[in-house]
Amino acid sequence: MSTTMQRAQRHTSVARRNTLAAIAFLAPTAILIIVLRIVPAISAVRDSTHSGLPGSLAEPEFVGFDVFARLFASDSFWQSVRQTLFFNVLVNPIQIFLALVLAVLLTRNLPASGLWRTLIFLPSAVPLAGSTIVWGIALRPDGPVNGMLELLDIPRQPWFTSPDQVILALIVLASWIGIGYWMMFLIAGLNDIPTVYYEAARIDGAGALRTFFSVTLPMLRRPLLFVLVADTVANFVLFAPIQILTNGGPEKQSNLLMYDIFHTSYELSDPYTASAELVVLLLIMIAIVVVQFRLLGSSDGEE
Amino acid sequence: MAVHKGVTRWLVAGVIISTASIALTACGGASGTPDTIAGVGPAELVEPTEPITITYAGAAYAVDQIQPVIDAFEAEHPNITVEYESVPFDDFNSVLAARLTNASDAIDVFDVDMPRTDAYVARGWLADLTQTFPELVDSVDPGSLEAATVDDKVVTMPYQTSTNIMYYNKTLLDAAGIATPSADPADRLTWETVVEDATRAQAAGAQYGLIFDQIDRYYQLEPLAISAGGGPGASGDGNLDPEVANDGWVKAFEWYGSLFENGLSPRGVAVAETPNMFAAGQTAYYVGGPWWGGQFIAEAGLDFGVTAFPAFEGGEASTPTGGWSLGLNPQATPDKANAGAIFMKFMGLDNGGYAQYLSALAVPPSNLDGGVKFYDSDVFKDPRFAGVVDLMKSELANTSTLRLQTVGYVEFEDVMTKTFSDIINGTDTAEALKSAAADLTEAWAKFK
Repeated sequence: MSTTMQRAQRHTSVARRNTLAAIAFLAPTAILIIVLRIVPAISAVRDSTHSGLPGSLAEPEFVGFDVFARLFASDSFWQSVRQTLFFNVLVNPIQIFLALVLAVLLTRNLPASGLWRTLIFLPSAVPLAGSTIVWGIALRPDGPVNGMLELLDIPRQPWFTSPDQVILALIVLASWIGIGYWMMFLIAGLNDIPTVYYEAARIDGAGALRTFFSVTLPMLRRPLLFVLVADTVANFVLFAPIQILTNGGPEKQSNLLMYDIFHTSYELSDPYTASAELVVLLLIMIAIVVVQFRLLGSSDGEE
Repeated sequence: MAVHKGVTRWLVAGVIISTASIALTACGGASGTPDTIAGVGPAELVEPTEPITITYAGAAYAVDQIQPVIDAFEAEHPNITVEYESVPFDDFNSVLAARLTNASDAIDVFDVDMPRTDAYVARGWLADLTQTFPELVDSVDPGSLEAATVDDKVVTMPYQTSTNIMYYNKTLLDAAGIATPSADPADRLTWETVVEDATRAQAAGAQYGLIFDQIDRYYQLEPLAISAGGGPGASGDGNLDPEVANDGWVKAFEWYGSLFENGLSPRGVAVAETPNMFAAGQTAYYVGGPWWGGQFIAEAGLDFGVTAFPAFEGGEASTPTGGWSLGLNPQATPDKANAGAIFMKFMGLDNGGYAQYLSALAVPPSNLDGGVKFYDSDVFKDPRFAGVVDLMKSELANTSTLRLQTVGYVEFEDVMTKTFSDIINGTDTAEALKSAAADLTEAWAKFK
């Protein structure tokens, strides 16, 4: 055997071993992604082109895009889409703005900043169902929040029981949990910014605002993009508070898509319409996330 | 570089293969059917010789309430074990939907809310029991039999029906100088009088004037619409043309909404919380089921009485009724179906049915022999319940109205619960009912 052949053989066996190792490491994640993400998405698309009587045990029949046609002709579906977009247009900027403000404040050398961080982060350690029930009681028409408002001579608010305030009440609830959580990522991002940039800005005579917009914000773009995308996705699929507190009401104002999908699929036993709604929700989310990547991720030379 | 390429190729291949295999197994699983009764209950019941366990999912009773019945059954049928799973009523449909289709985790016998019978039949959730229980016809009350029969086939074993009465707090009424009503059905109050008196009682110290037990449920609110001349909510072929926005419905629910507007009833209260508000002595009038009797007589300081479910002035008297039946999984194996049917017979037929084993019987059983034991229960011997037995018998015979029987009942109840909840929270009644009618038209399109 010539030495070149031996070398080549050794080379291929190293390559094979590398490949096997890579597969072994990647397999669990890849399998989970396939089983939990790709397969359900495929089956949602398949279900959305079939139809059958609700809950029927008979085989569903293929109907093409009929389910979508029925869905697009339904006022309550469009109301659901509108409310989902309305909720997200409000909740995401509010959460991210407040998370950013708190992150910046808590990376300044405030007294006891560790304590504040912990207190602000704590709500996200409580299970969502738990905080939902607590807020449900707190915001009851005769609940403690209204009691405090009365002390300040502000009239009682109907919160979850009013079609005009239910989205607001949901935003309060979601933000109470979300702000602390997303703040932690932004704090990590802020701590990663090398201090030399701030020194340079100081030498150039930049003020606090100018430093924030010209140094902090650009350097924070990557964690900010992650927070923006992850927060948007989380809020688009927000479900527990609606299921526990409002059931989509009053007057369907809190009938967000994710809840409606659950409701249609499980409570009305119509998985076909639910799958069609799911496909619509996925497309909306993909479109929004793509725009977010374009806005924040593009000019940053990736590799 | 080469290594990376190899990994990518491997990964891609892996993704394709596993996706394909998962898709294949998913498809294969649906077509391969194990040995089942294929939708028809057993013609003959045979006492099993080998131990067998059946799963019974129920929403009517909590575990500790039904346990004496199951114990008695297992003593009589030592080879059959009944695994009882108590499911909250609100989750019951979704649990059934998931567990009747999934063979590995299947339910064998399950509670069927009577008005949902038609819908469950259309879904293929109920085995045909006509040949299994031929003696049913002569053993239960006519309303229960009607609820158990779809297209001349017996599809469930009815075991429990219900009626409603109105409780009043004597102490609160006395404080307001209101004469206490009698339990004679001939002395039925009008809703107009009740509101007047409830307002006075509230002025004299009652926290709440009038509370409905099932605050946003069609079960208890349907009689309001019927009494106001609005009908049960739908008409036409298969009861699939919504009739929830007519004058009668608007009258009934403007009245109902005003209870909350005027503070006679509280907003933001769940169904489960209402009996406690009467038990705590805060409520002047409470419209509810006799099933709260046990809880109320346990309150020694609660001085209450009962009277008939009111009606609107000049309107027909109507009272809620209906209850629970048992269904058999049409996909059950023959052995489980046999054991399940033996259990169903025990619940609904044998010696008057399940009622004799319950310590505190809350509602009348469908079985006629069992009914005697119900009316004889200790709860109704409490002096505060004077007259209630004759009242309940009379209501069940004369004024009880089954809920709307339609294949679209699940959607109907869903839309109506949300609508009632909106009306309670102050939405304009006519608007809310009109929107409900539109929702029903849309939801029922698929059944037409």
